[in-house]
Amino acid sequence: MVIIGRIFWTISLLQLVIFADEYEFDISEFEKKPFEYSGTIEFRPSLTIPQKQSFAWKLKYYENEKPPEVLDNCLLITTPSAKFEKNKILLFGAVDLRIEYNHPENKWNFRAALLEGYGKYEFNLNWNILAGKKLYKWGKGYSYNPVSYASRPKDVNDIDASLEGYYSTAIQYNKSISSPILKNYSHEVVLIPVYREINDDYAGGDNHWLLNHSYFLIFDTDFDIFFNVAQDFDFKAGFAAAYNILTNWEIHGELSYLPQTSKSIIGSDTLLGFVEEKDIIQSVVGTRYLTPFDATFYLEYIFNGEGLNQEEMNQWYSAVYNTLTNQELESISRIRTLWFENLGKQFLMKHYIYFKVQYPEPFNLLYFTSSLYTLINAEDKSFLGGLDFNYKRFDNFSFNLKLVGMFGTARSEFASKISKLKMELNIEYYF
Amino acid sequence: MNKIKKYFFAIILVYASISFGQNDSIDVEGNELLKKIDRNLTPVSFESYRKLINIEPDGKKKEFVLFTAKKGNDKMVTTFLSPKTEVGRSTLRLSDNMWLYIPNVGKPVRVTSMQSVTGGIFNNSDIMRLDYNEEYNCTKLEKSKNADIMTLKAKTGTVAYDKLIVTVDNKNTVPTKIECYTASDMLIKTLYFKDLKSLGKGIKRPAIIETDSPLHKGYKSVMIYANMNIRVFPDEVFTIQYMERIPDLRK
Repeated sequence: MVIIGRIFWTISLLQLVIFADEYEFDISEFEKKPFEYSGTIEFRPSLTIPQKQSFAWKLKYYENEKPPEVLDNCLLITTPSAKFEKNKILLFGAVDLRIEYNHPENKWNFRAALLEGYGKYEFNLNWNILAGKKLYKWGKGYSYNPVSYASRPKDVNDIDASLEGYYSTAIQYNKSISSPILKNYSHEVVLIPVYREINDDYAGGDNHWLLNHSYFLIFDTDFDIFFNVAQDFDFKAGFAAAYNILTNWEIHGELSYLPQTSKSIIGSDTLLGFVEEKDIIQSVVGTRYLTPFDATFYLEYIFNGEGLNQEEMNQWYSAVYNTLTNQELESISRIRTLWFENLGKQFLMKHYIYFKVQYPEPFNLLYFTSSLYTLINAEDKSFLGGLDFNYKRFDNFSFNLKLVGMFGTARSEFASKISKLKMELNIEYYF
Repeated sequence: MNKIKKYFFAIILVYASISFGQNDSIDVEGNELLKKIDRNLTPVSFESYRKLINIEPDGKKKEFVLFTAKKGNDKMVTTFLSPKTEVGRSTLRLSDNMWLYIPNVGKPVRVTSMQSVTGGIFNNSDIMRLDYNEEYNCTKLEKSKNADIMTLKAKTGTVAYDKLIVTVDNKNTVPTKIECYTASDMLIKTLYFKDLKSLGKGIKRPAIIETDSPLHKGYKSVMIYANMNIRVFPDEVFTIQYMERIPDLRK
């Protein structure tokens, strides 16, 4: 009996030791430090099969006797960031450094950009003031944010990518309330100066812009109100909201109002003109739904009131077609510049539908996420379609493979771009 | 005949009052026990560090470290401290509302409680769980000498699991096992509470929760608690404007 007791006691002790070692962890390495840094190093090769019948391709390679069959490209990017906090002062900086090799052109490109660099003083948990280069991401839409007055447009093919901020100063106020109706409200007032080279890509001319973002959590619904006023009283106003109908079903919307805007159109003489338009609305309404089998569906309808209508797009196509037919090099060079400066962006026209389904761990592949998405131009019926595969099995590494195709008739938005099918691999190391 | 009718109705009335009385006592006693279990598992307002370990059938592991702050019955925030791919990813729960903040995205987004943020068996509801007595009522309490068995029913359809069967360690008034079921009585997962120990001043609770699921055979997830402290945070910490700063709550 004594021997059995001793054996039992020994086994218990052994289990305790093994058990304890396996499940202990030391939190000291996770305690807060005044100075912290992080970042990523990305290796991003890509291969593009071109649309050789597209207007963009014909314009770009018109003078090239032997245009490339494929476009391959290699990017090496690092985005380090650092934060220092002491007492009530916070200093933050993030940079983007990249080297790009473009094979058909045999060109190396180098770029260094300050994404963000600002100082913040926190008076208390309600008030703080900030100055420097800051990125403000506003809006509830997933693929499109017309109310994002203080940031750059997202890339639909890389929605979560880091963007560059603007030099600004801001005051922020935040208050939590114990009430069944209004639970939280906040205000953010931002000043973005545009002067010579400072923020010259924010707006034209030397001007100062004052922006306000007010947020309310009312009846479990996010409500946001936005204003953007320039020194010369040019202004925009916006509204956004998001709500969970059920715990697995969310709806959201944004609306932006511009009293006046101008857009670039091309005349039959292939000269660039501008059309003034009044009372412009830009909006997005969408929903996100999580199914019982863990797939998430995203659906958004986008209305870009600033976009070109079908007739205006047809004028562009005709202008390019006629210029290429006439084969005058000077005209081709001029219209090439106009095309890429005015049409080399997203949401060229007015009506779009965005759809995405994201399914984590298909076939029980742990840490593997697959996505299928499409952006459809509802007017000309062209669309881009993408497949995305992400794998995060290994600590500090993320692997991503993306395939994006453009589809449509010759005179349509997505089929008039250079790329027909792009394959991109992204190997990211986090430090 | 009238006398028989009177006796009959009297018996019905007595039986009904005994039945309802018994059900009321079980609800009250079971719900009171549930409140004690909640307080033994976590203080009303606290901070803690947790490690989640996902273990695959072949023994491979992946670990996540989180910092959590909770206040009262309906406010909680969590942020990832490890691995580096997840650092800064934070979740805020305010009653039935839940938001996710990812540093690259740069703004909070409304999410759902059933999504898995780490892969593996644990989901948002498990990681961002409020008190059991906030979300469940005890409908049945089976008492025994060492271990009571409680049946809990979700108060609303928004709760992640419709029914829980809780095995209670009577000596310490903490769970040893919780089985989680859907409304159609399908077992989704089982939580095993182990390694009862002191985690901080006045806090003695199981430090380890192991989980397995018939839906993911061979896989196991483990949650390890460390350094749990009573701490009261200002309400502004539990707002979407503060989500970017949640990692700075650590001392």
